[in-house]
Amino acid sequence: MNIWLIAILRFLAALALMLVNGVVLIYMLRKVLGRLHVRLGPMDNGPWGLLQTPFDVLKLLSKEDPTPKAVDKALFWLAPAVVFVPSLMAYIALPFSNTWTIANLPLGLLFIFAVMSIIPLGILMAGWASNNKWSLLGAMRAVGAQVTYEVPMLMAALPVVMMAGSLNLGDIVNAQSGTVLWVIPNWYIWNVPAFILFFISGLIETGQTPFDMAEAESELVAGFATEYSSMRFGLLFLSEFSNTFIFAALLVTLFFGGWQLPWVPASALSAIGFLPPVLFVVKTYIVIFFLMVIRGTLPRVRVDQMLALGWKFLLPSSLAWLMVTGVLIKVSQVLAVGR
Amino acid sequence: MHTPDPTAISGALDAIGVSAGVEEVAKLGVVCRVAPADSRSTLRAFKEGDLAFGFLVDLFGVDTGEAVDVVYHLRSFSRDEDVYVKVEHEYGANLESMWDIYPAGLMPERELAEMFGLTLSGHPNPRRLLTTDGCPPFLLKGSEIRAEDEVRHRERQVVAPENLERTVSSLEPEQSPHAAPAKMPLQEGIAAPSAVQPVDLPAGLHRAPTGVDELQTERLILSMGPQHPSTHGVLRINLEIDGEEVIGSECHIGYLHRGIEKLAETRRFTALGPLMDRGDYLASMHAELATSLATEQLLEVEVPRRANWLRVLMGELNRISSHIVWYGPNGLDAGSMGPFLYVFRDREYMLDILEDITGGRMMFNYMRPGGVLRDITPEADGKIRKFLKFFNQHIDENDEILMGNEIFQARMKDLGVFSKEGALAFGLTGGNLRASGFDFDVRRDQPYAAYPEMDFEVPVSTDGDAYARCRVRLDEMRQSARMIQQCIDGLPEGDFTAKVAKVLRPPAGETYAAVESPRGELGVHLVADGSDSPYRMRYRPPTLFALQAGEQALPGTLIADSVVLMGSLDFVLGEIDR
Amino acid sequence: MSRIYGTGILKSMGIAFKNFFRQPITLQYPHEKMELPERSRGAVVATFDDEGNPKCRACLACVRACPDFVLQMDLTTDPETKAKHIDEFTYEVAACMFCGLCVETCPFDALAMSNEYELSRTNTEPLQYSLLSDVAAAVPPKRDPADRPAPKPKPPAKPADSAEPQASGSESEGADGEGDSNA
Repeated sequence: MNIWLIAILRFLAALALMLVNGVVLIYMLRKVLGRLHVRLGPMDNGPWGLLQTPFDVLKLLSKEDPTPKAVDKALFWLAPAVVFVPSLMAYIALPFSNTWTIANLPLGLLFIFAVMSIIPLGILMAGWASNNKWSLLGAMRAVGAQVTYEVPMLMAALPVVMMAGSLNLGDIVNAQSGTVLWVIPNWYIWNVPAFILFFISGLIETGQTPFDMAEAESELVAGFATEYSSMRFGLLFLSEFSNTFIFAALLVTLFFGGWQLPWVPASALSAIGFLPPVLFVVKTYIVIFFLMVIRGTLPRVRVDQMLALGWKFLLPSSLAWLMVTGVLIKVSQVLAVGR
Repeated sequence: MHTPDPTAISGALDAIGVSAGVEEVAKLGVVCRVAPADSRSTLRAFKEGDLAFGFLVDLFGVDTGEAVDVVYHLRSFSRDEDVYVKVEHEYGANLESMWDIYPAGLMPERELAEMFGLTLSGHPNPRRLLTTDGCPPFLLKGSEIRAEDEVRHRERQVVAPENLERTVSSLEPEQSPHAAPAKMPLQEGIAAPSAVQPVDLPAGLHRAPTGVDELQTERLILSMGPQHPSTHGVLRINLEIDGEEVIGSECHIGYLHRGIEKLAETRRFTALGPLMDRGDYLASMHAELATSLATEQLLEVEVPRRANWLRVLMGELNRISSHIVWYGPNGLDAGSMGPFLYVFRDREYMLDILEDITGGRMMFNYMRPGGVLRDITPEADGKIRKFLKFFNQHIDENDEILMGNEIFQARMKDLGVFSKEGALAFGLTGGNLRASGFDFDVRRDQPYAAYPEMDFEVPVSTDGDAYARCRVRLDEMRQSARMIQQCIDGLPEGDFTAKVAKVLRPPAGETYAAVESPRGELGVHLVADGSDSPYRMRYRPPTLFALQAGEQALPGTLIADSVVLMGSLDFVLGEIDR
Repeated sequence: MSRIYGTGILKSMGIAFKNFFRQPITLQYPHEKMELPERSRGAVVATFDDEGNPKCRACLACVRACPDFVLQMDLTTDPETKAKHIDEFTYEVAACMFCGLCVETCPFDALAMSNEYELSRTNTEPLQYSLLSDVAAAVPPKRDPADRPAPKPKPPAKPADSAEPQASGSESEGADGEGDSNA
């Protein structure tokens, strides 16, 4: 087919994925938080409140869009786009199955990290352009946090890359197939320090509780997004949920074997065409559920404590663990050769 | 509570050359009357000399018809004595601030000067507290609130365009509020530096923000405004920040000022209940109880034993529910949504119990002079027992989920530390004071109702930081549950109220009654003149003092901390603004 | 730097997760309504006796007791028989704070607090309505002159507000005058 047509179809697939994902995640968040708080969550619109999010989206679309007089118009207009588009772009590298990837990039992981680091720029644009001190504070906090944790996040993902031998996310998933000693699945979750470091860094990168100070509701009202309303706010909000999905998807890909089931050979799964993507999405949603439980429970870490955590603890630890993993891999290679 | 020795007081004052009239007034205590020129030296003698009355309980005014009586209510904890220093000022005279002797008077002085038409000198922040320019001095008898115009008659309420400018000018003599004040935009609300007399601030007190520095452009003045998810009530704090650190802070209150003290002068004594309910709306029982106690002291009525036990029962239920309203949002300020809802489940159950007994969920209107309004029903009795069963288990869980969380501890520890002397100097009472190591509880030390018969402990901590305040309040909740159990098990038979007339006319006199509300010592100073409504009712809000202490403790913290610090002080704007 | 990793966090998450399996306590309001206790204070209503006549004797005690002047009574008194006729007994529910002082003060149990709390309306007209209109006030029942107690000394000229309440709140009639409970 025409290469441009394929490209447009792929783009539409990513967009559809992002939108559907956003809708489902918002509903899931409200229901999960509701059950955690011993209450019901949305119930009125549609059976069990299923139509709540579509109605919310309709509401956002039909809302008036007031732009405060003193904002920097170009930045104010561009900022939601700069925040939204990188999230969209990150979807194209996710491996839904052996063959189902929107774009099978050889540097998939690096691409995702690179693209996600554009988001703090958008947040800063939003905060600055709003001409609102509260927004500015929120934006400054967000940028400080996300810039700090980009390096540890990459460093924490590198042991996995070293073990798999490739930055291509599909290869990383395939490297996790099979079992060790016929019982333990060969998932990289056993590399627990890398998992913990990546988990914490990712929580901060995506602005999740307990590190959501960019949007700390009880302090900064809505943080950098205070002056936004209607679909501009919708874009910012949607991008936050997309980041959550991408982070969870990365966790699943890097540490939980991607679309694979334990003890089931990968080829058998791939034979059933639609099963791997479904498994992938289910696993991602389980991880997201766990993230939501954290969101509903833990208090927020203060900004300076969090930055101290990043610079003084996570960065050195991730470097150290990288070295240790390298040594261990070399040792295991030597042992394997020597045997 | 002992009566101080009048001769010792006269002796001490004669020694410094002040002629004072010291006499013992029935139902009140020892009153010492001095001239305005001697007020500062008198207060200094009271504080620093042998007399050692180191604690300012309250500072307020009474319009006697010819002059304004400024009353300083002082207390000596070591001897357990209270004394009243009354200074008579002419209308429109100048009040000299004595904040350097008793820092607790910082905000009450501003309110006094504004409400009685006096000017204020020597104060670091001599601005109106509760009302804006254009409001007359409300508590003067000459400012009438005509009863019919208060609430009804919509066609008579006109919003004139000139009423829409809201400025808050200084109360200093040179800038008399009666002259045209300098128009300051409400957004900034900062006194022009040259107009405020610089006062040497001792260590530990920080000046209110003085404006953006001309050379450095890093400092912002942020208005944590009246609409904010985390200021507990309508409170506005102007924060001067440098990056994330708070350098200066100034609290603006008065958004919830309804004139409770003035309205009390038009209400009958039995109708004071609903009015006081709406002061500290979370601790309505305690506010009503304080008023009832004061009225009973004036009437010299004896309350039956069962009524006293019911008062304790209701008060402790109210205490737990008030602490829950503090605890849940405290977690929410820190970012944690779960505990908020878990504790509110218990509170809903408690409010159901209270509705069973009193008929209202928040505005109880239950305590009356002479006893309580109604007896407890058997269903309510059963519900209370059931509540106690699951509450004791839940409180441990709710304690663990937030207080045991390291993130929460990291936020709260070493935040807003008040030393014992600092807390006493600022007039803090209640949980805030006990967390700083000073063991004073009105229920145990100046008992009222059935507390002498109750077996309870008073939790005290010595850390003085926000975490200690949380810990003290959580332990208080457990002690309250213990007391409720004792009340339910041991409720004596008898009447639930003494026989009092429907329209009460206490004989002329004045008295003070204090209760231990969840926030501190809630006192009501009642002046009666023989008619069916009070002549002057003063509501001593325990958290006004906590607020001014918090305002002084804010500089040096981060913005995120400021929210948590103010939350840990547990104030309610309803009683601060009245 | 603070120790953030620790068992406290995991324990709190465990407690929160346990709550996931508890029965939600939400009462879905418009569809399910809560049962209010009988003492619950809602809008004020006038009470009637068995024959359907109002118990109100137009003594105006409630009008005087209300702190916010919510109740107003328009009366006409027949000059010869001294019988009172209530023209209009208005109640401004928008301003009422449901304190219950009127119900407490009434010596004849002519007012009661219903459990009605859904009082929102879309304009202010219905928020001021009449509790009683164009009815005759109740009169005290005729008593046998032999049963009348010995007359008490007349108090000085004060408006006869109401009788002294009994501890159990039973109804009493007539105006014995009020007094302070200490002489």
